[in-house]
Amino acid sequence: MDACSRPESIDRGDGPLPAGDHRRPAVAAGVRSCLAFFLGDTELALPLTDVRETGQLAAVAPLPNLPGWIRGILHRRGEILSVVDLACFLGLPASQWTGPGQPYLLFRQSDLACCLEVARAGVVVHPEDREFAAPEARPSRPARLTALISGVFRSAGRDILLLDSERLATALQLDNPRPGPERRAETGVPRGEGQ
Amino acid sequence: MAPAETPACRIASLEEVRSLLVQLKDSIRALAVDPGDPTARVEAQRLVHILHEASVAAGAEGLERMAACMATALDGVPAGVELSRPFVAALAAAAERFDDLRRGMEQGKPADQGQLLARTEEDFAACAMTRPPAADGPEEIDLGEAVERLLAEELEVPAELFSEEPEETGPLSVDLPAPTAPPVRGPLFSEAEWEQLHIGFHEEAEEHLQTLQQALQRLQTASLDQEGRTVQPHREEIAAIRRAVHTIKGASAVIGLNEVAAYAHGLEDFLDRLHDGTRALDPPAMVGLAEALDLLGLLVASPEQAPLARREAVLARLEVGGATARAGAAASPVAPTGTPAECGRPAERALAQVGSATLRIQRQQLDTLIGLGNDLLANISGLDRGLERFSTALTELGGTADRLKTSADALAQLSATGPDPTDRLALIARAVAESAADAAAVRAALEELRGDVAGELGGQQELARDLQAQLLQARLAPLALLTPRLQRIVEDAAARLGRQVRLVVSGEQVELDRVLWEKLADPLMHLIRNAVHHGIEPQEERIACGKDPVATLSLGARREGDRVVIRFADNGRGLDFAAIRDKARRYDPSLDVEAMDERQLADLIFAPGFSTRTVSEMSGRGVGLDVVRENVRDLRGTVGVATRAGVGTAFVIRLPLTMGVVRALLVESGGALWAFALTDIRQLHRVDSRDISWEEGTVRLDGATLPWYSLPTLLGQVEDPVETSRPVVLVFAAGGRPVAVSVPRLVGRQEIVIRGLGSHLRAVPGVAGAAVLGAGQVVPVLDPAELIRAARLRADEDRPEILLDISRPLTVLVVDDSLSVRTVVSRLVASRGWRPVAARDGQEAVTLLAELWPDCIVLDLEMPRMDGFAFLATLATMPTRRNIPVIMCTSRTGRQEREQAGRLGVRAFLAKPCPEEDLLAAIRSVTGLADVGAEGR
Repeated sequence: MDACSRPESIDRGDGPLPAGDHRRPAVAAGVRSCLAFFLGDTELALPLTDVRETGQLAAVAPLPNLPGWIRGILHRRGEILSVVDLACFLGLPASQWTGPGQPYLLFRQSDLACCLEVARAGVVVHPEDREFAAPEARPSRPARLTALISGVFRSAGRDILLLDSERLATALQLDNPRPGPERRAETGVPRGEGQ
Repeated sequence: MAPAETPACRIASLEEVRSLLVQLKDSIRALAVDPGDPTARVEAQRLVHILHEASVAAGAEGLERMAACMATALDGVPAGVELSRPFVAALAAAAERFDDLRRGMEQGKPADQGQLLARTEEDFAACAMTRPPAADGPEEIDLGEAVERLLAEELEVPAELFSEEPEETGPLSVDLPAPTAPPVRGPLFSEAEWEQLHIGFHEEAEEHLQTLQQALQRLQTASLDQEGRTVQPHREEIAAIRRAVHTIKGASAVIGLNEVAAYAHGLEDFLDRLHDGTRALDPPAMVGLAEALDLLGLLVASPEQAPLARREAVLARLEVGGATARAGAAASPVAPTGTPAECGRPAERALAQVGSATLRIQRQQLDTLIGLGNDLLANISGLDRGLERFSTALTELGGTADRLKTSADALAQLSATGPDPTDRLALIARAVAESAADAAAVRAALEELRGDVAGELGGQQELARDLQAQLLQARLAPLALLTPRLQRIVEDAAARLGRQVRLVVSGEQVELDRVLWEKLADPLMHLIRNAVHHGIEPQEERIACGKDPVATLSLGARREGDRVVIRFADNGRGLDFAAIRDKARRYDPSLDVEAMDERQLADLIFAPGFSTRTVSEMSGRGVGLDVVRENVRDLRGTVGVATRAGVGTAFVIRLPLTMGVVRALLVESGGALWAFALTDIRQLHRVDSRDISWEEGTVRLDGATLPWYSLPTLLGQVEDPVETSRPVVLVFAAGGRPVAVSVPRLVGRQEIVIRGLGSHLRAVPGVAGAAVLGAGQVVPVLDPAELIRAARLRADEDRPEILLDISRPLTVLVVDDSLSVRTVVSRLVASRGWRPVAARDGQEAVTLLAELWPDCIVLDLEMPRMDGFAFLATLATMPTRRNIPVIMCTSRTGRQEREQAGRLGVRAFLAKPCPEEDLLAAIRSVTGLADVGAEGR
């Protein structure tokens, strides 16, 4: 991401807000520390509170009948964790799978825990509130990635896309085979009422 | 209480009156639904008296007299006598008149007090509730009708499945009386189970009584302030006591111990005031509390020693000395009828004697020990494989030492022929020879070490197996545990349907994990009902066929290696394949029914929803055999059916003996390790590759042609172009028939512990779980039947196979600290073919939700460690679980609790004890089943 290539450069000091979006990315603004990482040439970040550790993947056992962005499972300190090819999941160019030794981030969001396979783990960054910008829709950017970005900030001359942890966790969930009442409500079927 | 002295006080009192009246109307509404509801009755009684006091405080004579009239009427109904519906109606009318009077006063338009009061008195007099009513006594549940209802609900469609028309239409349309007794009475529990519930309640109550006695002891030793009152920080102890009393109240109510529930309710009122601080815990209150708690223990253990008069006296003493004396009742203090020592010790002794012959241990503790035993065995098994690799390395070392020696000899020869035996080459040759000798010595030492380690490892394995066996022994129970219950089911079903049926049981001494028997109880009951209703012919028909008019159901269990085989058979008419075929056509027109053989048709009867999806009707919940298969699958077992027309039908259930450690076969495919549980493998062969037909997908084996698959294909891998001439083939059971799967390479056997796939991947088609080998390597454990099914669905093959959209049963998470309530609700859920999972409190529920995805949650409010509200707050932070609908079921039904529950996202709020139909309706409603049909599941 290169800010200079964006059609509208924003001077956070006294410049106008981007047309069409006058909201401040409140969620992104509240994030103080992030871990940056690379998926190919794209630099992204996750709030540090949701990335418990980084490391190198051990042997991953593949599983059948799963989407291609799930590499498989591994065992780590008594816990079975899934391994997600994050680039594939976000629709970015697939990273070269190097097998054991591939960098990963251990992502935990509430009751979800999994290993996110990355190309390269970066550094911890501490963006200031004023550095955040709302994510712009770009045709070249995959739709899923756009939907999961909560903000964009500049650090050391680079644009870093900040992922929303909650949305990412929800998106990573595999489909629940039983539709809940909410989905039925969408089709016009009334929900049950409480007493 | 003196009338209010100032207008402001009067207004405040009137405001209190208005608030109390709202609560009273709520209680009356509950009584209108269930006049036998002890909680609502006690609450109404309490509110009426407080209303009277508030009316006096407000100086409202009309209200005072009306409230006194209601109080007198309620107090005049003997305890243990259920309120009649006319009485409840009179009470409701009185409350409305009271409200009219109140409004009139507020608006300055006083109503005719005399007339309203006279009508109220006439209404109550007409009910004549002061003597035991002849016609309005508690209704008895007709078990016969209840069984009939069960049969109608569960077997309705099988009547169509197995015969041309339902033989009896009457039983299928009986209207049952509305449940008036506590929900647990009725068809859900036999007498034997009822006794078990009581035993369970007493065990549970003993725990809670110990808890509250400990808390009381802490209170009694707490420091007091100058006025002799307990200092405030001890609210924790009061909360603990209140929680224990509350749980005893709920548990006793749900199993029909109304006296205990009512007394606990009265005690709870006092505890509420203590907790809120509106009642000070001064020494008299402390004494009263201790006496009251001791009497509670006595009431639970020996009810005859705690008669009503004594209970009322103790509760009255709690009130005396406080700010709220009961007006309208005898206000003189009643002398204690027993000292706390007399009350307490006998109760403790009585309860202790119930369990003196056993050592009580938390089930969770036992499960933990068993889990550790399983892990120990699996780890040792992993060490075994490490030892094998060590042996391989030793062999290589031996070979290297030999080669080293050979080279040393060659060097020595070369140097010997040289001009100078002491030249450098000779030195090198000697050094190499010494190294070779050293290597050989090292190898010998390591070999000896390997032998010692192997011996010790073998000993450890034996010890670990013994430990595992002993721990599991604690959980084992024989088939005889179920026999009485099953016998009763046979008798009930046979009597109702006019059949003569005997149940013959063999192998009653065969033992299984108690949990397995509990899970098998429902499937066996379904099989029995199915057999009696549809398999067994009427007597006349049996005689005409030359059969014994008394039909026989046989149930047998035996051990076969590491499995238990349970066989259930009837000597009835056998499966009607014509009817099944006809049914299948209507169920799924896309099925090639004509091409299905009898085995495939027989497999259809296990499909959930199969029998409900008929042309003639959409109601009915199915044969119940889907419950059989589902429960057996949960136990990693299999169920098969064999039948012969005119002779009978037999169901064979095979279960692995241990649920923890399983023996697995490790195979390699696509460069990865995979495991199959040995219990899943029927046969293992090495076949000639020419016997495999890739085009047809078959293999010839022992003269039979079986469907054949390649494991890499099933796993979605690229096939290895290198073919072996004699590939290994495993034979599994899938879809009721044997299926062969060839595997690229066998690796070995190992004992493993099957675990879940983590918090992200809930269920993967074809994968039963994962195992961690000794080296820390994770290996997926495959479910061959599901793997094959998933591959077929993926390939959309045109096979005459049952491609049914078999949905998993509704899963309900029951969260309640009362064992009795968990048992009753779980049984109710299971009786509908749904799957109950229980948790003791919010914290355990949160732990379960890491891997469980229930369709709804039935949640209590008052629980230790994490109460209902705290659980809801935690659930809201779980993005993957927060949309699971929650039904709150609690006896704390005040407005505050309801509002708080609503704010936290509760979808339905039910009052304990909750009628079965209300809970079921709520579950259907919040999970969206309400739009499927009345009994669509």
